Amino acid sequence: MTNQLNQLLKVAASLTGVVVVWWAVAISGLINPLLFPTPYTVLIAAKELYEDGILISDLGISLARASIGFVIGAILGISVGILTARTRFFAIALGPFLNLLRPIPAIALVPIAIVWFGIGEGSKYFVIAYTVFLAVWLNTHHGTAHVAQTYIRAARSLGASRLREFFEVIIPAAAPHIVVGLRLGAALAFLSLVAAELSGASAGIGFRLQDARDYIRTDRMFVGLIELGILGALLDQFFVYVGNKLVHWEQL
Amino acid sequence: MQKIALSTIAGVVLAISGATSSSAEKTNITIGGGPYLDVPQISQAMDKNLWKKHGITAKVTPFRTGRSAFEALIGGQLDFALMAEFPAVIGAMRGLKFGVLAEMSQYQAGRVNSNDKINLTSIKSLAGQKIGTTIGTNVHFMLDELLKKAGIKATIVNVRPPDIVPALVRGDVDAATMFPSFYGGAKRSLGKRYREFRINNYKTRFVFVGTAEMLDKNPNTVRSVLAALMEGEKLVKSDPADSQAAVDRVAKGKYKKAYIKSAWSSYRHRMVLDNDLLELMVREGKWIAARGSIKGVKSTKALYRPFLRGEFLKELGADRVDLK
Repeated sequence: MTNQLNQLLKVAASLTGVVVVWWAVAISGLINPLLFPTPYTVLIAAKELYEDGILISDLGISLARASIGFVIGAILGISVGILTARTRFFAIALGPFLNLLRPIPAIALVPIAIVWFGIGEGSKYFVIAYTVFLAVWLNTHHGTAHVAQTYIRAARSLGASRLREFFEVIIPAAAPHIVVGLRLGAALAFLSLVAAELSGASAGIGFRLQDARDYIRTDRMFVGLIELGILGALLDQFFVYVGNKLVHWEQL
Repeated sequence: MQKIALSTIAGVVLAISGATSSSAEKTNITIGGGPYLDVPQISQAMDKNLWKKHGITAKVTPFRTGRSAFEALIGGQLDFALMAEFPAVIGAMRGLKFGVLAEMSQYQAGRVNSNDKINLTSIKSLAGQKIGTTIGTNVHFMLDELLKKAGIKATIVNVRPPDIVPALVRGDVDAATMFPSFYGGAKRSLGKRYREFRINNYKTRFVFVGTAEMLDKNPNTVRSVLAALMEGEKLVKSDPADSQAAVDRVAKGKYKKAYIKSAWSSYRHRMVLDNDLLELMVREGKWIAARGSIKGVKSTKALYRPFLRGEFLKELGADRVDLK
Protein backbone atom coordinates (compact mmCIF):
# COMPACT_ATOMS: atom_id res chain seq x y z
CA MET A 1 0.00 0.00 0.00
CA THR A 2 2.82 2.39 0.96
CA ASN A 3 4.66 1.34 -2.20
CA GLN A 4 1.62 2.13 -4.32
CA LEU A 5 1.20 5.50 -2.63
CA ASN A 6 4.88 6.24 -3.20
CA GLN A 7 4.51 5.32 -6.85
CA LEU A 8 1.45 7.53 -7.19
CA LEU A 9 3.25 10.46 -5.55
CA LYS A 10 6.20 10.04 -7.92
CA VAL A 11 3.88 10.08 -10.94
CA ALA A 12 2.06 13.15 -9.60
CA ALA A 13 5.37 14.96 -8.93
CA SER A 14 6.68 14.16 -12.39
CA LEU A 15 3.50 15.33 -14.14
CA THR A 16 3.35 18.48 -12.02
CA GLY A 17 6.94 19.26 -13.03
CA VAL A 18 6.07 18.85 -16.70
CA VAL A 19 3.04 21.13 -16.36
CA VAL A 20 5.12 23.80 -14.56
CA VAL A 21 7.80 23.77 -17.28
CA TRP A 22 5.11 23.79 -20.00
CA TRP A 23 3.37 26.75 -18.37
CA ALA A 24 6.64 28.65 -17.93
CA VAL A 25 7.58 28.18 -21.60
CA ALA A 26 4.08 29.15 -22.76
CA ILE A 27 4.04 32.44 -20.84
CA SER A 28 7.70 33.27 -21.50
CA GLY A 29 6.76 35.06 -24.73
CA LEU A 30 9.30 33.02 -26.68
CA ILE A 31 6.59 31.23 -28.62
CA ASN A 32 3.35 32.58 -30.06
CA PRO A 33 0.69 31.59 -27.47
CA LEU A 34 -1.67 30.66 -30.31
CA LEU A 35 0.81 28.03 -31.40
CA PHE A 36 1.86 26.92 -27.90
CA PRO A 37 -1.05 27.35 -25.48
CA THR A 38 -0.82 27.35 -21.68
CA PRO A 39 -2.19 24.38 -19.70
CA TYR A 40 -5.07 26.63 -18.62
CA THR A 41 -6.03 27.40 -22.25
CA VAL A 42 -5.96 23.68 -22.98
CA LEU A 43 -8.17 23.04 -19.96
CA ILE A 44 -10.67 25.62 -21.22
CA ALA A 45 -10.61 23.97 -24.69
CA ALA A 46 -11.28 20.59 -23.04
CA LYS A 47 -14.19 22.10 -21.12
CA GLU A 48 -15.55 23.62 -24.34
CA LEU A 49 -15.35 20.25 -26.13
CA TYR A 50 -16.93 18.50 -23.17
CA GLU A 51 -19.81 20.97 -22.99
CA ASP A 52 -20.42 20.58 -26.73
CA GLY A 53 -20.63 16.81 -26.20
CA ILE A 54 -17.70 16.29 -28.58
CA LEU A 55 -15.11 15.08 -26.06
CA ILE A 56 -17.09 12.10 -24.80
CA SER A 57 -18.55 11.23 -28.19
CA ASP A 58 -15.08 11.28 -29.84
CA LEU A 59 -13.70 9.17 -27.02
CA GLY A 60 -16.45 6.55 -27.45
CA ILE A 61 -16.07 6.40 -31.23
CA SER A 62 -12.27 6.13 -31.13
CA LEU A 63 -12.34 3.55 -28.34
CA ALA A 64 -14.79 1.42 -30.31
CA ARG A 65 -12.64 1.61 -33.45
CA ALA A 66 -9.43 0.85 -31.54
CA SER A 67 -11.06 -2.05 -29.66
CA ILE A 68 -12.49 -3.73 -32.76
CA GLY A 69 -9.22 -3.30 -34.68
CA PHE A 70 -7.29 -4.57 -31.66
CA VAL A 71 -9.43 -7.69 -31.21
CA ILE A 72 -9.14 -8.60 -34.92
CA GLY A 73 -5.38 -7.98 -34.94
CA ALA A 74 -4.79 -9.81 -31.65
CA ILE A 75 -6.75 -12.94 -32.61
CA LEU A 76 -4.97 -13.13 -35.97
CA GLY A 77 -1.58 -12.34 -34.41
CA ILE A 78 -1.83 -15.07 -31.78
CA SER A 79 -3.14 -17.67 -34.26
CA VAL A 80 -0.57 -16.97 -36.96
CA GLY A 81 2.23 -16.62 -34.37
CA ILE A 82 1.54 -20.09 -33.03
CA LEU A 83 1.32 -21.50 -36.55
CA THR A 84 4.60 -19.97 -37.76
CA ALA A 85 6.39 -21.00 -34.57
CA ARG A 86 5.22 -24.60 -34.37
CA THR A 87 4.63 -25.59 -38.00
CA ARG A 88 7.48 -25.72 -40.48
CA PHE A 89 5.17 -25.20 -43.47
CA PHE A 90 3.73 -21.92 -42.13
CA ALA A 91 7.16 -20.77 -40.94
CA ILE A 92 8.52 -21.11 -44.48
CA ALA A 93 5.37 -19.86 -46.24
CA LEU A 94 4.60 -16.84 -44.08
CA GLY A 95 7.71 -15.95 -42.05
CA PRO A 96 9.65 -14.02 -44.72
CA PHE A 97 6.54 -12.19 -45.94
CA LEU A 98 5.54 -11.10 -42.43
CA ASN A 99 9.07 -9.91 -41.71
CA LEU A 100 8.87 -7.85 -44.89
CA LEU A 101 5.61 -6.27 -43.69
CA ARG A 102 7.00 -5.30 -40.29
CA PRO A 103 8.79 -2.09 -41.35
CA ILE A 104 5.74 -0.76 -43.25
CA PRO A 105 4.11 1.88 -41.04
CA ALA A 106 0.34 2.03 -40.63
CA ILE A 107 0.12 5.51 -42.14
CA ALA A 108 1.60 4.21 -45.41
CA LEU A 109 -1.25 1.72 -45.61
CA VAL A 110 -4.05 4.27 -45.29
CA PRO A 111 -4.31 5.09 -49.03
CA ILE A 112 -4.42 1.41 -50.03
CA ALA A 113 -6.85 0.60 -47.22
CA ILE A 114 -9.21 3.27 -48.53
CA VAL A 115 -8.98 1.95 -52.08
CA TRP A 116 -9.65 -1.61 -50.87
CA PHE A 117 -12.17 -1.09 -48.11
CA GLY A 118 -13.59 2.36 -48.89
CA ILE A 119 -13.94 5.30 -46.55
CA GLY A 120 -16.18 3.45 -44.09
CA GLU A 121 -15.21 1.66 -40.90
CA GLY A 122 -13.61 -1.27 -42.75
CA SER A 123 -10.48 0.65 -43.74
CA LYS A 124 -10.03 1.91 -40.18
CA TYR A 125 -10.29 -1.57 -38.67
CA PHE A 126 -7.86 -2.82 -41.29
CA VAL A 127 -5.19 -0.23 -40.49
CA ILE A 128 -5.48 -0.75 -36.72
CA ALA A 129 -5.68 -4.54 -36.97
CA TYR A 130 -2.62 -4.62 -39.24
CA THR A 131 -0.47 -2.76 -36.70
CA VAL A 132 -1.70 -4.84 -33.77
CA PHE A 133 -1.36 -8.08 -35.72
CA LEU A 134 2.34 -7.58 -36.47
CA ALA A 135 3.24 -6.75 -32.85
CA VAL A 136 1.26 -9.67 -31.44
CA TRP A 137 2.45 -12.07 -34.13
CA LEU A 138 6.14 -11.29 -33.54
CA ASN A 139 5.91 -11.74 -29.77
CA THR A 140 3.74 -14.84 -29.99
CA HIS A 141 6.02 -16.36 -32.58
CA HIS A 142 9.12 -15.63 -30.51
CA GLY A 143 7.59 -16.92 -27.27
CA THR A 144 6.14 -20.07 -28.83
CA ALA A 145 9.24 -20.91 -30.87
CA HIS A 146 11.61 -20.61 -27.94
CA VAL A 147 9.94 -22.80 -25.33
CA ALA A 148 12.71 -24.58 -23.39
CA GLN A 149 13.27 -28.05 -24.83
CA THR A 150 13.60 -29.48 -21.29
CA TYR A 151 9.91 -28.66 -20.63
CA ILE A 152 8.84 -30.44 -23.80
CA ARG A 153 11.10 -33.45 -23.16
CA ALA A 154 9.82 -33.71 -19.60
CA ALA A 155 6.19 -33.61 -20.74
CA ARG A 156 6.82 -36.24 -23.42
CA SER A 157 8.70 -38.54 -21.05
CA LEU A 158 5.69 -38.35 -18.76
CA GLY A 159 3.52 -39.48 -21.65
CA ALA A 160 1.68 -36.23 -22.38
CA SER A 161 -0.28 -36.21 -25.61
CA ARG A 162 0.51 -33.59 -28.32
CA LEU A 163 -2.64 -31.68 -27.44
CA ARG A 164 -1.85 -31.70 -23.72
CA GLU A 165 1.75 -30.70 -24.45
CA PHE A 166 0.48 -27.76 -26.48
CA PHE A 167 -2.05 -26.47 -23.95
CA GLU A 168 -0.18 -27.29 -20.74
CA VAL A 169 3.45 -26.68 -21.71
CA ILE A 170 3.84 -24.55 -24.83
CA ILE A 171 1.04 -22.01 -24.27
CA PRO A 172 1.87 -21.34 -20.58
CA ALA A 173 5.56 -21.00 -21.46
CA ALA A 174 4.80 -18.57 -24.28
CA ALA A 175 2.10 -16.67 -22.37
CA PRO A 176 4.39 -13.93 -20.94
CA HIS A 177 5.53 -13.10 -24.49
CA ILE A 178 1.97 -13.13 -25.80
CA VAL A 179 0.86 -10.75 -23.05
CA VAL A 180 3.78 -8.41 -23.85
CA GLY A 181 2.72 -8.53 -27.51
CA LEU A 182 -0.86 -7.65 -26.56
CA ARG A 183 0.38 -4.78 -24.38
CA LEU A 184 2.49 -3.45 -27.23
CA GLY A 185 -0.38 -3.99 -29.67
CA ALA A 186 -2.74 -1.96 -27.48
CA ALA A 187 -0.36 0.99 -27.53
CA LEU A 188 0.08 0.65 -31.29
CA ALA A 189 -3.69 0.50 -31.78
CA PHE A 190 -3.93 4.11 -30.59
CA LEU A 191 -0.95 5.09 -32.69
CA SER A 192 -2.57 3.79 -35.85
CA LEU A 193 -5.99 5.08 -34.83
CA VAL A 194 -4.90 8.63 -35.63
CA ALA A 195 -3.70 7.57 -39.08
CA ALA A 196 -6.90 5.57 -39.64
CA GLU A 197 -9.16 8.49 -38.74
CA LEU A 198 -7.54 10.92 -41.15
CA SER A 199 -10.01 10.11 -43.90
CA GLY A 200 -13.61 9.00 -43.96
CA ALA A 201 -14.13 9.97 -40.33
CA SER A 202 -16.38 12.77 -39.17
CA ALA A 203 -15.73 12.09 -35.50
CA GLY A 204 -13.08 10.54 -33.29
CA ILE A 205 -9.87 11.76 -31.70
CA GLY A 206 -7.82 11.48 -34.92
CA PHE A 207 -10.41 13.42 -36.90
CA ARG A 208 -10.62 16.07 -34.19
CA LEU A 209 -6.83 16.50 -34.24
CA GLN A 210 -6.95 17.14 -37.99
CA ASP A 211 -9.94 19.46 -37.66
CA ALA A 212 -8.16 21.41 -34.90
CA ARG A 213 -5.11 21.72 -37.14
CA ASP A 214 -7.28 23.10 -39.96
CA TYR A 215 -8.50 25.87 -37.65
CA ILE A 216 -5.14 26.49 -35.97
CA ARG A 217 -6.69 25.37 -32.68
CA THR A 218 -3.53 24.15 -30.99
CA ASP A 219 -5.37 24.17 -27.68
CA ARG A 220 -7.77 21.53 -29.05
CA MET A 221 -4.85 19.62 -30.57
CA PHE A 222 -3.27 19.43 -27.11
CA VAL A 223 -6.58 18.11 -25.72
CA GLY A 224 -6.55 15.32 -28.33
CA LEU A 225 -2.93 14.44 -27.65
CA ILE A 226 -3.45 14.37 -23.89
CA GLU A 227 -6.57 12.24 -24.40
CA LEU A 228 -4.53 9.74 -26.44
CA GLY A 229 -1.76 9.73 -23.82
CA ILE A 230 -4.15 9.11 -20.93
CA LEU A 231 -6.04 6.41 -22.82
CA GLY A 232 -2.81 4.66 -23.78
CA ALA A 233 -1.43 4.80 -20.23
CA LEU A 234 -4.68 3.49 -18.72
CA LEU A 235 -4.83 0.67 -21.22
CA ASP A 236 -1.21 -0.21 -20.54
CA GLN A 237 -1.90 -0.38 -16.79
CA PHE A 238 -4.93 -2.54 -17.51
CA PHE A 239 -2.78 -4.98 -19.49
CA VAL A 240 -0.15 -5.06 -16.75
CA TYR A 241 -2.86 -5.86 -14.19
CA VAL A 242 -4.59 -8.52 -16.27
CA GLY A 243 -1.24 -9.92 -17.44
CA ASN A 244 0.01 -10.29 -13.88
CA LYS A 245 -3.16 -12.15 -12.96
CA LEU A 246 -2.97 -14.44 -16.00
CA VAL A 247 0.77 -15.01 -15.96
CA HIS A 248 1.26 -14.77 -12.21
CA TRP A 249 4.55 -16.68 -12.34
CA GLU A 250 6.20 -13.91 -14.33
CA GLN A 251 6.55 -10.21 -13.44
CA LEU A 252 5.40 -8.08 -16.42
CA MET B 1 52.65 49.73 -48.17
CA GLN B 2 50.45 49.59 -51.24
CA LYS B 3 49.15 46.20 -50.08
CA ILE B 4 48.26 47.59 -46.66
CA ALA B 5 46.46 50.56 -48.24
CA LEU B 6 44.51 48.27 -50.55
CA SER B 7 43.45 45.93 -47.76
CA THR B 8 42.42 48.91 -45.62
CA ILE B 9 40.26 50.27 -48.46
CA ALA B 10 38.78 46.77 -49.05
CA GLY B 11 38.03 46.46 -45.34
CA VAL B 12 36.28 49.84 -45.24
CA VAL B 13 34.25 49.00 -48.37
CA LEU B 14 33.22 45.67 -46.85
CA ALA B 15 32.29 47.30 -43.56
CA ILE B 16 30.20 49.95 -45.35
CA SER B 17 28.45 47.41 -47.55
CA GLY B 18 27.78 45.24 -44.52
CA ALA B 19 26.33 48.19 -42.63
CA THR B 20 24.21 49.14 -45.63
CA SER B 21 22.84 45.65 -46.14
CA SER B 22 21.97 45.24 -42.47
CA SER B 23 19.99 48.47 -42.51
CA ALA B 24 18.45 47.81 -45.96
CA GLU B 25 15.31 45.83 -46.56
CA LYS B 26 15.31 42.10 -47.00
CA THR B 27 15.59 41.30 -50.71
CA ASN B 28 16.07 37.53 -50.49
CA ILE B 29 12.56 36.33 -50.02
CA THR B 30 10.80 32.99 -49.69
CA ILE B 31 7.37 32.29 -51.16
CA GLY B 32 5.23 29.24 -50.46
CA GLY B 33 3.45 28.31 -53.64
CA GLY B 34 0.39 26.17 -54.01
CA PRO B 35 -0.74 24.76 -57.38
CA TYR B 36 0.79 27.06 -60.00
CA LEU B 37 -2.17 26.65 -62.34
CA ASP B 38 -4.32 28.68 -59.96
CA VAL B 39 -1.89 31.61 -59.97
CA PRO B 40 -0.09 31.77 -63.33
CA GLN B 41 1.26 35.24 -62.50
CA ILE B 42 3.74 33.52 -60.19
CA SER B 43 4.56 30.92 -62.83
CA GLN B 44 5.49 33.69 -65.25
CA ALA B 45 7.52 35.52 -62.60
CA MET B 46 9.42 32.30 -61.89
CA ASP B 47 9.79 31.29 -65.52
CA LYS B 48 11.05 34.69 -66.73
CA ASN B 49 12.77 35.56 -63.44
CA LEU B 50 10.82 38.79 -63.21
CA TRP B 51 12.03 39.13 -59.62
CA LYS B 52 15.52 40.04 -60.74
CA LYS B 53 14.28 43.02 -62.73
CA HIS B 54 12.73 44.35 -59.52
CA GLY B 55 15.84 43.82 -57.45
CA ILE B 56 14.76 40.76 -55.50
CA THR B 57 15.76 37.13 -55.28
CA ALA B 58 12.82 34.86 -54.67
CA LYS B 59 12.84 31.23 -53.69
CA VAL B 60 9.48 29.63 -54.39
CA THR B 61 8.84 26.44 -52.44
CA PRO B 62 5.94 24.28 -53.58
CA PHE B 63 3.43 23.20 -50.94
CA ARG B 64 0.80 20.52 -51.33
CA THR B 65 -1.90 22.90 -50.15
CA GLY B 66 -2.18 26.63 -49.56
CA ARG B 67 -3.14 25.87 -45.98
CA SER B 68 0.24 24.17 -45.40
CA ALA B 69 1.99 27.17 -46.94
CA PHE B 70 0.06 29.44 -44.59
CA GLU B 71 1.12 27.33 -41.60
CA ALA B 72 4.74 27.69 -42.70
CA LEU B 73 4.28 31.45 -43.06
CA ILE B 74 2.83 31.74 -39.56
CA GLY B 75 5.65 29.55 -38.26
CA GLY B 76 8.17 32.02 -39.73
CA GLN B 77 9.56 29.81 -42.50
CA LEU B 78 8.12 31.89 -45.34
CA ASP B 79 7.79 35.59 -46.16
CA PHE B 80 4.86 35.20 -48.55
CA ALA B 81 2.34 32.47 -49.35
CA LEU B 82 -0.30 31.68 -51.94
CA MET B 83 -3.53 30.08 -50.79
CA ALA B 84 -7.31 30.19 -51.02
CA GLU B 85 -9.11 32.85 -48.99
CA PHE B 86 -10.47 30.35 -46.43
CA PRO B 87 -7.28 29.90 -44.36
CA ALA B 88 -6.95 33.70 -44.28
CA VAL B 89 -10.38 33.90 -42.63
CA ILE B 90 -9.23 31.37 -40.02
CA GLY B 91 -5.98 33.27 -39.49
CA ALA B 92 -7.86 36.55 -38.97
CA MET B 93 -10.34 34.93 -36.58
CA ARG B 94 -7.42 33.48 -34.59
CA GLY B 95 -5.68 36.86 -34.50
CA LEU B 96 -2.54 35.76 -36.35
CA LYS B 97 -0.15 38.31 -37.76
CA PHE B 98 -0.25 38.52 -41.55
CA GLY B 99 -1.72 40.62 -44.32
CA VAL B 100 -3.55 39.82 -47.56
CA LEU B 101 -1.82 41.75 -50.35
CA ALA B 102 -3.93 40.75 -53.31
CA GLU B 103 -6.50 38.37 -54.65
CA MET B 104 -4.54 36.85 -57.53
CA SER B 105 -7.25 34.88 -59.29
CA GLN B 106 -10.75 33.49 -58.99
CA TYR B 107 -11.84 29.99 -59.86
CA GLN B 108 -15.25 30.43 -61.44
CA ALA B 109 -16.26 26.91 -62.39
CA GLY B 110 -17.10 25.37 -59.02
CA ARG B 111 -19.27 22.28 -59.19
CA VAL B 112 -20.83 19.32 -57.44
CA ASN B 113 -19.82 15.98 -58.89
CA SER B 114 -21.54 12.66 -58.71
CA ASN B 115 -21.43 9.17 -60.12
CA ASP B 116 -24.36 7.77 -62.09
CA LYS B 117 -26.17 6.63 -58.94
CA ILE B 118 -28.08 9.90 -58.93
CA ASN B 119 -29.58 12.01 -61.66
CA LEU B 120 -27.73 15.24 -60.93
CA THR B 121 -29.88 17.82 -62.66
CA SER B 122 -30.20 20.31 -59.82
CA ILE B 123 -29.14 20.80 -56.23
CA LYS B 124 -32.51 19.37 -55.15
CA SER B 125 -31.37 15.99 -56.49
CA LEU B 126 -28.83 15.85 -53.64
CA ALA B 127 -31.60 15.53 -51.04
CA GLY B 128 -31.02 12.55 -48.77
CA GLN B 129 -27.82 11.55 -50.58
CA LYS B 130 -24.43 10.76 -49.11
CA ILE B 131 -22.09 13.59 -50.11
CA GLY B 132 -18.33 13.46 -49.62
CA THR B 133 -16.38 16.60 -48.89
CA THR B 134 -13.33 17.63 -46.89
CA ILE B 135 -14.95 18.83 -43.70
CA GLY B 136 -13.91 22.23 -42.44
CA THR B 137 -12.65 23.54 -45.78
CA ASN B 138 -14.01 26.00 -48.34
CA VAL B 139 -15.60 23.19 -50.37
CA HIS B 140 -17.53 22.13 -47.26
CA PHE B 141 -18.61 25.73 -46.79
CA MET B 142 -19.71 25.86 -50.43
CA LEU B 143 -21.74 22.64 -50.05
CA ASP B 144 -23.35 23.72 -46.79
CA GLU B 145 -24.43 27.04 -48.32
CA LEU B 146 -25.87 25.23 -51.35
CA LEU B 147 -27.88 22.77 -49.27
CA LYS B 148 -29.12 25.48 -46.95
CA LYS B 149 -30.19 27.70 -49.84
CA ALA B 150 -32.01 24.82 -51.51
CA GLY B 151 -33.60 23.85 -48.19
CA ILE B 152 -32.55 20.22 -48.42
CA LYS B 153 -30.74 17.80 -46.14
CA ALA B 154 -28.05 15.29 -47.02
CA THR B 155 -25.53 13.12 -45.18
CA ILE B 156 -22.11 14.77 -45.29
CA VAL B 157 -19.12 12.45 -45.09
CA ASN B 158 -15.60 13.66 -44.40
CA VAL B 159 -13.13 12.58 -47.07
CA ARG B 160 -9.60 13.92 -47.38
CA PRO B 161 -8.83 15.43 -50.82
CA PRO B 162 -6.86 12.52 -52.36
CA ASP B 163 -9.51 9.98 -51.31
CA ILE B 164 -12.51 11.78 -52.72
CA VAL B 165 -12.29 10.50 -56.31
CA PRO B 166 -11.78 6.83 -55.25
CA ALA B 167 -14.77 7.25 -52.89
CA LEU B 168 -16.95 8.43 -55.78
CA VAL B 169 -15.71 5.67 -58.06
CA ARG B 170 -16.32 2.96 -55.43
CA GLY B 171 -19.72 4.40 -54.62
CA ASP B 172 -18.87 5.05 -50.96
CA VAL B 173 -20.45 8.46 -51.57
CA ASP B 174 -23.11 9.42 -54.12
CA ALA B 175 -21.83 12.92 -54.78
CA ALA B 176 -18.95 15.15 -53.74
CA THR B 177 -17.63 18.67 -53.57
CA MET B 178 -13.88 18.69 -54.06
CA PHE B 179 -11.01 21.05 -54.77
CA PRO B 180 -10.87 22.08 -58.46
CA SER B 181 -7.52 20.33 -58.94
CA PHE B 182 -9.38 16.98 -58.56
CA TYR B 183 -12.08 17.66 -61.19
CA GLY B 184 -9.92 16.29 -63.99
CA GLY B 185 -9.18 13.09 -62.06
CA ALA B 186 -12.88 12.59 -61.28
CA LYS B 187 -13.82 12.96 -64.95
CA ARG B 188 -11.10 10.54 -66.05
CA SER B 189 -11.80 7.93 -63.35
CA LEU B 190 -15.59 7.97 -63.63
CA GLY B 191 -15.67 8.05 -67.44
CA LYS B 192 -19.26 7.67 -68.61
CA ARG B 193 -20.45 7.63 -65.00
CA TYR B 194 -19.20 11.21 -64.49
CA ARG B 195 -21.86 13.81 -63.65
CA GLU B 196 -21.46 17.44 -62.71
CA PHE B 197 -23.61 20.34 -61.73
CA ARG B 198 -22.13 23.85 -62.00
CA ILE B 199 -22.76 26.17 -59.10
CA ASN B 200 -22.50 29.92 -58.79
CA ASN B 201 -22.81 30.62 -55.09
CA TYR B 202 -19.08 30.43 -54.48
CA LYS B 203 -15.89 31.26 -56.34
CA THR B 204 -12.55 30.29 -54.80
CA ARG B 205 -10.26 33.28 -54.40
CA PHE B 206 -6.53 32.65 -54.51
CA VAL B 207 -4.81 35.24 -52.38
CA PHE B 208 -1.24 36.35 -51.87
CA VAL B 209 -0.36 36.94 -48.23
CA GLY B 210 2.72 38.21 -46.43
CA THR B 211 4.00 38.16 -42.87
CA ALA B 212 3.34 41.24 -40.74
CA GLU B 213 7.09 41.69 -40.43
CA MET B 214 7.50 41.76 -44.20
CA LEU B 215 4.68 44.23 -44.69
CA ASP B 216 5.68 46.57 -41.88
CA LYS B 217 9.47 46.46 -42.07
CA ASN B 218 10.12 45.73 -45.75
CA PRO B 219 7.54 47.79 -47.67
CA ASN B 220 9.80 48.36 -50.68
CA THR B 221 10.38 44.65 -51.09
CA VAL B 222 6.62 44.07 -50.90
CA ARG B 223 6.16 46.67 -53.65
CA SER B 224 8.82 44.93 -55.78
CA VAL B 225 7.25 41.51 -55.32
CA LEU B 226 3.81 42.81 -56.30
CA ALA B 227 5.31 44.67 -59.27
CA ALA B 228 6.93 41.44 -60.49
CA LEU B 229 3.61 39.60 -60.13
CA MET B 230 1.80 42.40 -61.91
CA GLU B 231 4.25 42.08 -64.78
CA GLY B 232 3.54 38.34 -64.75
CA GLU B 233 -0.15 39.15 -65.02
CA LYS B 234 0.44 41.31 -68.08
CA LEU B 235 2.06 38.29 -69.74
CA VAL B 236 -0.82 36.07 -68.66
CA LYS B 237 -3.24 38.44 -70.40
CA SER B 238 -1.15 39.18 -73.48
CA ASP B 239 0.11 35.69 -74.20
CA PRO B 240 -2.03 32.92 -72.68
CA ALA B 241 -0.29 30.21 -74.71
CA ASP B 242 3.13 31.17 -73.39
CA SER B 243 1.69 31.49 -69.88
CA GLN B 244 0.25 27.99 -70.10
CA ALA B 245 3.66 26.75 -71.21
CA ALA B 246 5.21 28.64 -68.27
CA VAL B 247 2.84 26.89 -65.85
CA ASP B 248 3.85 23.56 -67.39
CA ARG B 249 7.56 24.34 -67.07
CA VAL B 250 7.30 25.60 -63.50
CA ALA B 251 5.04 22.74 -62.38
CA LYS B 252 7.50 20.31 -64.01
CA GLY B 253 4.89 18.21 -65.77
CA LYS B 254 2.48 18.01 -62.81
CA TYR B 255 -0.43 18.81 -65.11
CA LYS B 256 -1.13 17.55 -68.61
CA LYS B 257 -0.74 20.34 -71.18
CA ALA B 258 -4.26 19.74 -72.47
CA TYR B 259 -5.63 20.08 -68.95
CA ILE B 260 -3.88 23.42 -68.38
CA LYS B 261 -5.39 24.71 -71.63
CA SER B 262 -8.90 23.48 -70.88
CA ALA B 263 -8.87 24.78 -67.29
CA TRP B 264 -7.57 28.23 -68.27
CA SER B 265 -10.95 29.75 -69.05
CA SER B 266 -12.32 28.72 -65.63
CA TYR B 267 -10.15 31.35 -63.96
CA ARG B 268 -10.25 35.10 -63.80
CA HIS B 269 -6.66 36.27 -63.52
CA ARG B 270 -6.66 39.76 -62.08
CA MET B 271 -4.93 41.10 -59.00
CA VAL B 272 -7.52 42.95 -56.95
CA LEU B 273 -8.69 43.55 -53.41
CA ASP B 274 -12.36 44.32 -53.18
CA ASN B 275 -15.53 44.18 -51.15
CA ASP B 276 -16.59 40.90 -52.74
CA LEU B 277 -13.67 39.22 -51.03
CA LEU B 278 -14.41 40.98 -47.76
CA GLU B 279 -18.06 39.93 -47.85
CA LEU B 280 -17.12 36.34 -48.65
CA MET B 281 -14.73 36.34 -45.69
CA VAL B 282 -17.55 37.53 -43.42
CA ARG B 283 -19.84 34.74 -44.67
CA GLU B 284 -17.15 32.12 -44.19
CA GLY B 285 -16.32 33.42 -40.72
CA LYS B 286 -19.97 33.21 -39.68
CA TRP B 287 -20.12 29.63 -40.92
CA ILE B 288 -16.93 28.73 -39.01
CA ALA B 289 -18.32 30.30 -35.83
CA ALA B 290 -21.65 28.49 -36.28
CA ARG B 291 -19.78 25.18 -36.56
CA GLY B 292 -18.11 25.93 -33.23
CA SER B 293 -14.63 25.55 -34.69
CA ILE B 294 -13.65 29.01 -33.46
CA LYS B 295 -15.69 30.50 -30.66
CA GLY B 296 -16.05 33.95 -29.20
CA VAL B 297 -15.18 35.83 -32.41
CA LYS B 298 -17.75 37.90 -34.30
CA SER B 299 -17.31 37.64 -38.04
CA THR B 300 -17.69 41.22 -39.28
CA LYS B 301 -16.08 43.38 -41.95
CA ALA B 302 -14.31 45.28 -39.18
CA LEU B 303 -12.56 42.07 -38.13
CA TYR B 304 -11.09 41.29 -41.57
CA ARG B 305 -10.56 44.79 -42.96
CA PRO B 306 -7.20 45.38 -41.15
CA PHE B 307 -5.87 42.15 -42.69
CA LEU B 308 -6.59 43.34 -46.24
CA ARG B 309 -3.52 45.48 -46.91
CA GLY B 310 -4.55 47.19 -50.13
CA GLU B 311 -2.13 50.11 -49.87
CA PHE B 312 0.61 48.29 -51.80
CA LEU B 313 -1.60 47.13 -54.65
CA LYS B 314 -3.23 50.57 -54.87
CA GLU B 315 0.15 52.09 -55.73
CA LEU B 316 0.31 49.81 -58.77
CA GLY B 317 -3.25 50.48 -59.87
CA ALA B 318 -5.80 52.53 -57.97
CA ASP B 319 -8.69 50.80 -59.74
CA ARG B 320 -7.60 47.42 -58.38
CA VAL B 321 -8.47 48.19 -54.79
CA ASP B 322 -12.05 48.83 -53.81
CA LEU B 323 -12.44 48.37 -50.09
CA LYS B 324 -14.97 50.31 -48.08
